[in-house]
Amino acid sequence: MQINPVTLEVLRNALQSIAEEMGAVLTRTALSPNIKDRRDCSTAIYTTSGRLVAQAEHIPLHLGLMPDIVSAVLKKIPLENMEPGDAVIINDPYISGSHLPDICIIRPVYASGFPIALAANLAHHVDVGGCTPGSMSTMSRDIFHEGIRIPPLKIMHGGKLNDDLVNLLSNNVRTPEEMQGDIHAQVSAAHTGERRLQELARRHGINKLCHCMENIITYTERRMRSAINSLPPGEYQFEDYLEGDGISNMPLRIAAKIELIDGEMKVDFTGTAPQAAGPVNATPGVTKACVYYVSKAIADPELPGNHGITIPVHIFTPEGTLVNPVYPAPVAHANINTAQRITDVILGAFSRAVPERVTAAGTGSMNNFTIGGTGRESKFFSYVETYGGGQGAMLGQDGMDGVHVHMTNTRNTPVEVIENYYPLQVEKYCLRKDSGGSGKFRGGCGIERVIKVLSSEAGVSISAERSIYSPWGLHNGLNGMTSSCCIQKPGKQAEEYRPAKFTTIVPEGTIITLKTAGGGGCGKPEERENEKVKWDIKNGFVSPEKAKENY
Amino acid sequence: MQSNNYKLAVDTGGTFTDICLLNQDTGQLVNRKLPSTPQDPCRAIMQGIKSICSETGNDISNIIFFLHGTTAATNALIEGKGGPAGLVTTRGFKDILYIGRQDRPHLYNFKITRSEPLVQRHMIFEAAERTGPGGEIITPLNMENAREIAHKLKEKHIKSAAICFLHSYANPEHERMMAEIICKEVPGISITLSSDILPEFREYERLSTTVINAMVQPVIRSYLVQLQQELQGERFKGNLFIMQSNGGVISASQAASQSARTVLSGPAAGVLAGKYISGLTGRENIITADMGGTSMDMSLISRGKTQYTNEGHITGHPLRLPMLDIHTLGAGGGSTAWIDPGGILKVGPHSAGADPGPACYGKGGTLPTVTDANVVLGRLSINKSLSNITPDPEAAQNIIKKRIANPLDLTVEEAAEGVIKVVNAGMIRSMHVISTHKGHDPREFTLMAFGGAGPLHAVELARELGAPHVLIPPFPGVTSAYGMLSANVKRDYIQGFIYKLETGIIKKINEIYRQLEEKALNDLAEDGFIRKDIMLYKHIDLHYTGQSYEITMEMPAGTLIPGDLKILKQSFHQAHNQQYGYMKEKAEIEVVAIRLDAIGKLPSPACKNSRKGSISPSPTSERAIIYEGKKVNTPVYERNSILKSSSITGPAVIEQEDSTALLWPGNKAHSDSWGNLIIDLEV
Repeated sequence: MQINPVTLEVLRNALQSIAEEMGAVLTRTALSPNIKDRRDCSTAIYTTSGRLVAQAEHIPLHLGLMPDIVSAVLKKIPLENMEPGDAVIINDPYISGSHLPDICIIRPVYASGFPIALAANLAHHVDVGGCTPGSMSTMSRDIFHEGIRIPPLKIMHGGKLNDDLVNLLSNNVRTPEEMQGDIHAQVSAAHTGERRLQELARRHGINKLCHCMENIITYTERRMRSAINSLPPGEYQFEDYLEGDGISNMPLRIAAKIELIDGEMKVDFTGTAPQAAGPVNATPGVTKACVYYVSKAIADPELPGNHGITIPVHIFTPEGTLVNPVYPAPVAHANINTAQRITDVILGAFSRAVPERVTAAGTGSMNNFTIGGTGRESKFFSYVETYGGGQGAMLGQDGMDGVHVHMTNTRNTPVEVIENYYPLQVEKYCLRKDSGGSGKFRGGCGIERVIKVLSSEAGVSISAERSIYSPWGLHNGLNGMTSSCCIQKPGKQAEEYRPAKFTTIVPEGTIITLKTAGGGGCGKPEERENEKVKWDIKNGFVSPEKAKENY
Repeated sequence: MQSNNYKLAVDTGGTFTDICLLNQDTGQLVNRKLPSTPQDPCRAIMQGIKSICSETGNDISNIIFFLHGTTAATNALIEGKGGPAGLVTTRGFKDILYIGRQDRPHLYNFKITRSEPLVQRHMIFEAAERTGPGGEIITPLNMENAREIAHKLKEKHIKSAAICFLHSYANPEHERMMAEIICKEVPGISITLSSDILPEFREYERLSTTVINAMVQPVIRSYLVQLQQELQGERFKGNLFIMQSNGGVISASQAASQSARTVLSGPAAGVLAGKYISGLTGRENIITADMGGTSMDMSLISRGKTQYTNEGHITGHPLRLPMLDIHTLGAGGGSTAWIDPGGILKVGPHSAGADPGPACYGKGGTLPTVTDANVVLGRLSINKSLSNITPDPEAAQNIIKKRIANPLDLTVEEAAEGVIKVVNAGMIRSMHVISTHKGHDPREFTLMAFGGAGPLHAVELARELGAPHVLIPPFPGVTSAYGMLSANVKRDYIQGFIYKLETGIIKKINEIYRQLEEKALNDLAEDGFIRKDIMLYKHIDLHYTGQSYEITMEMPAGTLIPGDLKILKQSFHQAHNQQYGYMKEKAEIEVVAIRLDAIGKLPSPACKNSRKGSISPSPTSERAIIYEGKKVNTPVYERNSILKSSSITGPAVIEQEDSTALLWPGNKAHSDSWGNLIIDLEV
């Protein structure tokens, strides 16, 4: 059935609106701040064969994760084995592709007894058990260290919540109340999606709605193909390194070859390092997410997020490598650092095809910073934050200063919030002068945060990257400045950590400085307009000395 | 009949200046709409007032209240005319404005970057000082360093400075000391303190708000001085009040210092009209939809109450003053239709605006617009139109055919209906954002449609949304000015105050309310209000400890006693449950801020009942209109021929000077007691 371009746009809006409403319900009713404030969640609508139609995502990583989850689950529990009022829960990275804290709930939707769609959502839970609070240990050796692994199971049957299952799950985590609350929010979000889809089917007819969903995917595929066709055909390669896996500091290579041919794109990760002992392994789901992210950003950033984007993109991830680990390798931290490096590699390869559409390497990590311990009134506290840094420059524009790049976009915690709620004092929070790579277009500056510990003793855990291999520049632009981390215990000499991936215990009065990497520059520095160099000096982004040296 | 009891409302918009003059004794209302004069907004205002006065045989000296909505502050920010401003922060924190919340505006598009910060970095100075979260002084303000900063501000010829220190909501001492030093060293400089404009925690949003005020204040002050001079030249003796984004007005003198309160105030008056009509008609639930040439502003009134937000933005910069929650979409009569690379029909967000405008206006527009589509479908009259332009149906046909119908292989009529459906689809999605996404069921709401284009699209929007009734106010084109007539003076006060909610802090809370009340009563006394016309409403922002969002709760009147606390806690749990779906009865509740709203009541407009009559009105003409591909001969009525309890059945077109309403086949319409056109959909 051919759907006319007006109806298609009208129903596309309606489906997108339903996905967004599910997102609003989920963030509004979730219990944990991670979902509520940081919006580490996504909601989506699928065809009955598990193809993504519409999605409300807040974090780019999910764009790539969502397309595969439902079809993988349908292989384990086919639609024939479901009935109205059912919902399936899953978090197994070796099926659904993310890491254990990302729990997904999928609900089949029926109208007049026929299955018409699936409504699903994914949310990052505070804790799913494992060997450290937050289930994000930097040192885990296998998936069992990382928490409870849920295969596809019916969390709802015939409209009733499976309380036994909910109890079993929440009994195995550190924050059972939050988990129960968040699961309820996920279930009610999916339920809202079901009701709205049923209303839509009543208004437009089941047949028209289902055809329209397929047409939306085809339409997006068509746009994706024509976007790929606008790129010069050929083979483009790139490689970059991850600074160790948290257990050893051995650099880990990520290599990719992109082939653009006949409106299709092939990405081959052959040459990537074998899977690591530490938790930096990216499941194929995460790896694909990075490829889809870059493809969308390069080909057409306004493409609707659905299965159509993925059809002309073929990704090969050799088994047993960093980008496709074999069970039971640990995977928790791939979302923080490995995902950013895979993104850099794909961007680097694209820079050889369409140099004008690509940014130089950015800060290259989500720069995870955790301080925990016992604070005022003997209460346990845990401060967790991810820091942005410099964005890479691109032809025609400087990189943004002090911003999250690529696979994440969560907000910072205000200084006044940190000081009101944690026994910490922020001494400094500013941009790092001279950290942006010089170039005709300057890379963005990284961030410097200095924090003093006021509690008696605290555990500090930092997971950053780009402290050895600085973010690369493009077209003769210079690299951004590396990240660095420094710990100054009272009465002791300051110690620098490189690479900045460690866990340690510090006494009261310790001052911790984390400086995140600046973005790479783009184009020859000597070609930068004089006015812009003067402006940067006048405004303190660049020192006169560095300007003299590089420009 | 001569009266000296007139109320005047003037709403200056980007394209038009709308004026309403109300005789408060008789309820008689006169309107005027004339082109704005952006270079000198006063010109259109004075011209309009003079013409409306001479027409009604009136004199400016009879106007006792002049209520004014202006885009001067908003424009100053959009066009960057405000600056340059200086900023003084705590040492170590000069980049709060540059880092913001470290997020980027678009997830995938590298070309979309953050808005340029409002203050250049070399105009930001760090003062050696530090206050802690409890208001305790950690490092006293270094006076010598403060004087150096003052000298630098002077050297750089800065006319307006913002001061924002960490934790100044808890202790404003250092900000005040800094201000004193600057004032002494730099005579004539304007200064905005963060502890004055928004004493609330979370430094980036407070700082951004402070900077916005510092930017627009000089502009607003000189604009208001000019306006007052010109008014006095015409012997105006009344009070001038300025519209704020919180839905109330403030005196011109206060607007000249707290100028950020007038940013984004334009759409607020439209919502106020919705609230006023809600009160008159007893329709408690209303969705307001103001559709003009380039954008549509939507808001929701639930149980007679407007909704507020603390999360306003202007040109990408947070403005955290309390404001009406209004959702804006770039869709209007001038929005252009186009075909995307995948072959789908899209409308907007680009607009042909007033110049060149829709193709059918013959002013050089070469892109098909929503207005062109409405002309093709026969929905817009080709015999009359706004600002004396008669639309050219052939031009509309040609452009829709060439740009839409031919490439998509549709008939011209199908293509035109497609344009309308697509633009409506975007509006409906936005209406869901303000209704269903926040837990409101549109089936319980009346859709109030106004603005030049609103009444034409209203029935289709209501039908898709499931709203059973449409309400079109008496003068859809000047509804914002009409709403302003019902405005009261509203001042909101806030004091950041972070403590566990327990009986030990009751004394402190009472003391803060006492101080805020004293300040409010003083401010309103300055505006000329006597105590009996002032109403005070106490609110408090609460959350469960650790949460990063708050719920604003109403407080009991009178002094707080321990017994009130238990009730307050209970109502907080319930409010949380209602809004977020759960409550934590054992969790600690924390106070984040204390609020006081002070209302100075202005005389409310006398409303005039509309003429009664049950005679069925007769159409003045007839024209062919296309509904879902079918051409139907549709009678055309004059709006003022529809009287109370006279009823007409669609299809029908109801025309008035500044707007056209469309009834679909089967709709029924009548006029209510206050002259509103009510359309009942078949549901």
